[in-house]
Amino acid sequence: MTRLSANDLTLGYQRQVIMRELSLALPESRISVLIGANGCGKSTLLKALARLLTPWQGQVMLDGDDIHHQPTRRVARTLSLLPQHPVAPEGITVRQLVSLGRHPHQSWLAQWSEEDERQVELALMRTDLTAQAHRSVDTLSGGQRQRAWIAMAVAQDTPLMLLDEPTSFLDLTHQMEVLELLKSLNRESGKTIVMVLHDLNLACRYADHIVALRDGAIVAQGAPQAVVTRERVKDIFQLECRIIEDPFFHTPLCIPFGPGSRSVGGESGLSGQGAPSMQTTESSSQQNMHTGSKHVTAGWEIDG
Amino acid sequence: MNAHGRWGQGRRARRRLLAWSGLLLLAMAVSLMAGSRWLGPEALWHALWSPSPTNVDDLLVRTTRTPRTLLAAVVGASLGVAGGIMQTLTRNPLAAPGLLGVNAGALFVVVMLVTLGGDLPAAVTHLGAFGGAALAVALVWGVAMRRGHSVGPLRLLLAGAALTALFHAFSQALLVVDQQGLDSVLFWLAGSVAGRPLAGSWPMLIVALIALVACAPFLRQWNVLAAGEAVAIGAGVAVRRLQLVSVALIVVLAGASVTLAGNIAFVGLIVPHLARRLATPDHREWLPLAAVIGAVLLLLADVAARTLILPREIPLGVMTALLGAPFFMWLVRRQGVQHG
Repeated sequence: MTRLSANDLTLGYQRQVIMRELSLALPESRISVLIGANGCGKSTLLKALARLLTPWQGQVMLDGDDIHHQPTRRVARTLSLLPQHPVAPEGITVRQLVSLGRHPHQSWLAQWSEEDERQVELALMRTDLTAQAHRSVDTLSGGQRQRAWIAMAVAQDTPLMLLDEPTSFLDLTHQMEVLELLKSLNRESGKTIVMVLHDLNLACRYADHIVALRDGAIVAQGAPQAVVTRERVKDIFQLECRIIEDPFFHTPLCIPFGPGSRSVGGESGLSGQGAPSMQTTESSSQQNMHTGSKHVTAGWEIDG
Repeated sequence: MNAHGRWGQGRRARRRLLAWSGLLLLAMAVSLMAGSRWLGPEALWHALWSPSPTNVDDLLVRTTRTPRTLLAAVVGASLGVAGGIMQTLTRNPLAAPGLLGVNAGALFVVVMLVTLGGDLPAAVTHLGAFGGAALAVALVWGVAMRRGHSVGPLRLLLAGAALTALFHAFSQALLVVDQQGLDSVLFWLAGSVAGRPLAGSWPMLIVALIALVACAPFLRQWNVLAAGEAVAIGAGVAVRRLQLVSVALIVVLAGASVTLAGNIAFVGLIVPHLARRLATPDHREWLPLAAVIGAVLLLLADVAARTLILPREIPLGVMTALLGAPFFMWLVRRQGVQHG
């Protein structure tokens, strides 16, 4: 099932094409993570999915209709968005910021309702910010601030949430905090979450569905175990690595190798062949590629 | 409280607005009493409620000071609100309506009319000035806009700066050719609410008042826009349409102001800061407050302008800059520049 998808999307800025004829269907009630090197177009794709960017060609479809042909307020009741590095107006309190998320539910006739109030309280509670509600957003720590922005999206009460690098500039603790929060929103409320993440290991850990991009094209997509292989990491990030199974969570764990890396055993990162790895051969991963749609194959052809 | 949701402070904000409205009435009264001849409260009362056609004081109040007071109040309110919208639209605390080219455009058309036509009826110059303001902003918008995108704040400011410089260059060129024109446009350059008969100003006054009221439906959307364009789009604000409406409101408010009172410095820049500092970041609270504070400040500046160096007058635009610049420096030093 999918509610949000891209059909033959061609995107760009000014005269520069970022991606051509890309198609993608995002599974409903799952956490999808877009990964790829800097400049591969993952944030651009997310912006297009969130209607921040008008495609040159193709459409973003939300519930069967072109997202740009639907009233933006109606879209905002289905899909919320946390952009990269949002800046709160100075002096605004946490509760005021979170209340902004209720905007698409309000109208001239029905201004601030009981339901608005309830959703704001709920969002504050879920993000553990009730005690901070009266504080000015400027005075919060980085992790709290990011939670406040997520709370705004939660208050919007949408089945779909798009987040552009929600963990950037956060320390590991706060990255985990944000991702755990998103996971609980997905597991408990069935929200469809689509986000861009930089950290491959955290992406593997929290994603149900990974979409790997390179040079504006989908290289592979599917479950983390299927997508994240040594060959593909090299292909996407131009990085030598070994993939092992996370001993606790059983998701792929990427051990990156630089040219000078030497393991304790003295093995060189570049020449070593015997590193332990979870056996994700090409064939087995292809079998795992169940998710998504017919468009998946298009990505695979590029991969060879 | 309900309409404010959990945003505003509700009652406290209303009390503050009420207090400033009281100050506004006081400032208006002072503006009616002060001048080359100081009139006491009784004389003012007499002039307002039971004027006699032969009493000099009554005539003074009714024909000279009343128009002046009304103009100062409306222009001050318009500039305060226009500046506030401008700062929200560009997310730039240093933005003022003049940066969109409003004043430069108005001035250019007035200079052109004066050099070409000489003595023209007030209605023509009014229409010309307003048209010039609208034309300049339309050009700025056209330069800044890209198809299919919202207008980036920086592009808007850069386009505005470029076209302002261009229009000023045109005006100066015309004035160099026609030296006599300079005297007749000095009023526009320095700004003033003096000696303008109310009869010719009514249409612009009403236009400005309508524009002030027309801001009401957009206050909540501006709250969301203040959190950034992407956030606003995500929350279902039609950002491109809101930008267009905001610019249109700025054109009408600031265009009417420059038409009525010429180039008044600093009010559009400072008043929003003051209002935000006194209220909350909620536009429903600080923007109305900006209107009232703008009116009070311009009234007081005008009273100072006409009484400080009697029997002469300091141009109002000079006065607001003289008062505004040090105040702004104090504000900046005290606590950085706030932006709502």
